[in-house]
Amino acid sequence: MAKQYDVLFRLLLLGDSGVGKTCLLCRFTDNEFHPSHISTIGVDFKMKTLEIDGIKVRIQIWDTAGQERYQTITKQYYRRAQGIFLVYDITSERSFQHIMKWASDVDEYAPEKIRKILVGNKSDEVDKRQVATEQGIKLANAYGMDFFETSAFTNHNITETFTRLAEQVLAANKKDLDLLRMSGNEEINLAALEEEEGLYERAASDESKGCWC
Amino acid sequence: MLAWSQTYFAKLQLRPCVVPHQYVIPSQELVRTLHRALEALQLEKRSCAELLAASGEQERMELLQHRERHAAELREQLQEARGGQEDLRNSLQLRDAEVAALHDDIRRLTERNNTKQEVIVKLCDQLTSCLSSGGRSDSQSLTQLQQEVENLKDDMEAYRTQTCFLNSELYQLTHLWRTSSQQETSLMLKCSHLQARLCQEESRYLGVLRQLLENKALEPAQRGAVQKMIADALKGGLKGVIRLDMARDHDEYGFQIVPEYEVEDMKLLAKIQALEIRSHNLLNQEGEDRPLIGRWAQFLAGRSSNDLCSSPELKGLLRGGVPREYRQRVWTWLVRARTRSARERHPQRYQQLCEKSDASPCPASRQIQLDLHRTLTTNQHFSSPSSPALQQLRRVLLAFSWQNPAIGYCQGLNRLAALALLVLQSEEEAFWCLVAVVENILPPDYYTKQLLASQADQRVLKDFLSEKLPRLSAHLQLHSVDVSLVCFNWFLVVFVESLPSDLLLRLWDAFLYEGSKVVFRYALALFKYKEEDILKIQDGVEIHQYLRFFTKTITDGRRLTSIAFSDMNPFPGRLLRNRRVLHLQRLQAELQDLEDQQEEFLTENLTENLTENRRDDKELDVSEDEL
Repeated sequence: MAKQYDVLFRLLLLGDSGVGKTCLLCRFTDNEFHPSHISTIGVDFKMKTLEIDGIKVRIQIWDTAGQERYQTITKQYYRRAQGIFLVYDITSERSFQHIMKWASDVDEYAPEKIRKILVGNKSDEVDKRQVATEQGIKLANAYGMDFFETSAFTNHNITETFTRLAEQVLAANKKDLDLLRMSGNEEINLAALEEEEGLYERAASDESKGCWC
Repeated sequence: MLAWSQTYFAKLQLRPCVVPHQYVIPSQELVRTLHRALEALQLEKRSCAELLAASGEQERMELLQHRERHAAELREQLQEARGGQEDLRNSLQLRDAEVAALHDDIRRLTERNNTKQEVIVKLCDQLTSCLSSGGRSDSQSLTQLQQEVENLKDDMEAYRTQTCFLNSELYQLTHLWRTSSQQETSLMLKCSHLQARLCQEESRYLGVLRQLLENKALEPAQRGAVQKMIADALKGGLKGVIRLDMARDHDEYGFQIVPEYEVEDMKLLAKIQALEIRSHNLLNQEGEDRPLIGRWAQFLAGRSSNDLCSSPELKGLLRGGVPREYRQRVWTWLVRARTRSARERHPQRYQQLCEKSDASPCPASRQIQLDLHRTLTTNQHFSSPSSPALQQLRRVLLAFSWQNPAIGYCQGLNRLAALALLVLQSEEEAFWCLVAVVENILPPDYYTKQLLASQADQRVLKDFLSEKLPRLSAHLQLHSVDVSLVCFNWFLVVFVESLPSDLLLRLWDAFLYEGSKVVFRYALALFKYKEEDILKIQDGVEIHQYLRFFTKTITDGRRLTSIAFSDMNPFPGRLLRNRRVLHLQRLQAELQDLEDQQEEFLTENLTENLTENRRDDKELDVSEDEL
């Protein structure tokens, strides 16, 4: 059976416990929002196929446990990922403060050319907001990342966020395709473009490049 | 003497004065009085004579004195007599009064007597009237009563016959009801068999459709038709088919009987699996559980929950699973047996720890609170935010974080505690169950800061996998599948939320008795059970995807148990222990290396920052300051 995708890569969701990583993922892959899902233990993952610039991109998204002691487990997956979502909760100053810790861990354990994106989740909870949008933008600029405020609850900016990171990863890896092949990273491979009927939905990827908040 | 005689004469003179006024007084009395006066005069004359006869002055003096004395005596006597008279008069008056009182009494008594007599007369009259008229009415009422008794006897007879008739009716109806209920059960059985067949057929149909879809030779039109059929089948809904029967959606512990599948790509497969589970459950409800319950009933008969002692028989029974009606009792015993010494040392441990968590803020409470609503969310007892089970869970977890400060709270413990609460139905027992699992059954450092022992167990599992299932192990390696991506989860929460509830509870029955070897046995058995299916998948990502949910598709629990406890033999405990020690040591060494590298990285970074990347750093510093 031929592969139903052209490129496969792995994205990783990082952030404090309870910021809504699993909810973001469920919203993106199944377009569902469960206010109560079980807490993630260790690492979990889901799959989704996107089509970006005519390329079928299969992404495996790893969802991680936020509690600190799980980091010894989750860190082992950093180096196998091509893109990372750093997620905080706009209603929790604390989770925002911790982004720097997460970012420095990524710098330490992830491959150098890994792409990162900053996500401020729960943008629907305006009344409880503790972290201003400007703070998010500033931090993202400091790290040279894109920044989105999202809401898994209202489905705000979800597809945009995932598609943006996927695009960035694709762009980063397209340049170094040969290099990647040489390095033997099997997970990323450009299969021959096959004319095969896909069942995959088309992801919107034509949003403006300005501010996505 | 002279004086006396003068008074006497005065008296005498008085009398003739009285006499003429009292004509009625007879003359004899006058005579008598005169006689007496005469006598007194004679007496006076004699004494005067004696006085005169006395020879000398001396004698006369003596005589006079004598007379004088006599006169004084008489005067005293007179005085006395007068006193006596007075007394008598007084007593007479008293008597008169008494007599008057007695007369009064007599009068009253007479009156009373009269009234009583009147009453008596009246009563007599009544009696006579009663006697004269009573005879007649008595005989009348007696006949009436006899008549009534006769009537009642008739009625009774009638009722008796009626009752007899109704009894026979009742008997016939019971008979009819019994036969119809027998028919109903047999029909239900037939129905469930038919439903099982239907489920099987449907799952086969879906399987065929799935294979058809994968067939390359299919023409586009046919392919479209097949896709439409699949879409229709999925749209028809699992629920529509399954809700037909009277089986419940949740088991006795509140778990969903058919687990939900969230994987989009696997919906078709998921439905096939759900249908198979359903048909298997329908067919095996009767056949498997009955003998098991019998064996347990026999084993537990006459044993109190305290004197269950370890034995090969108990071990075998636990591997087969504890029937629901005995599970709480057996688990309570297992937990007590594992925590006995700690509980004897601190009998009030749980209460004390609860008080402590009320009194002082716990560092773990934030994470516990976050996880409360993310525990067994599909279970009925934990799905509602207001459920009392959540508060029990919170107390158990807080108490445990004080019980074991080295662990505090680790995500995942919430699931262990929740399962214990569901089965043991007691906060305190659930707490001790958590203590038993974490401190007694699993190796140390399973949940502490670096989860070292948990990580080591993943390597141990890989060793066993390559040994017991070499083909599968090679296949997984070929496709660079990392089983710990799914298995780490299994081990850390002892399969809670990874297995259907009936299998999970059976695993725990044996786990609480035999220890963590059971977790390895089941993990390997799961791979063995689906070995052929996994070998068919030729893509690493797809294998991962399959492994993520395949545990919930196990339909034949008996087969799984038999693989775990017979196919996986020999499974020596010593080997497990040795491998654990080995991998733990290796891990610790690796961790040390990692730490060294980290230090190196940090110092490297520091020097780099100091020299080259000053500008970038400045920007970062600014943003950090502003945060």
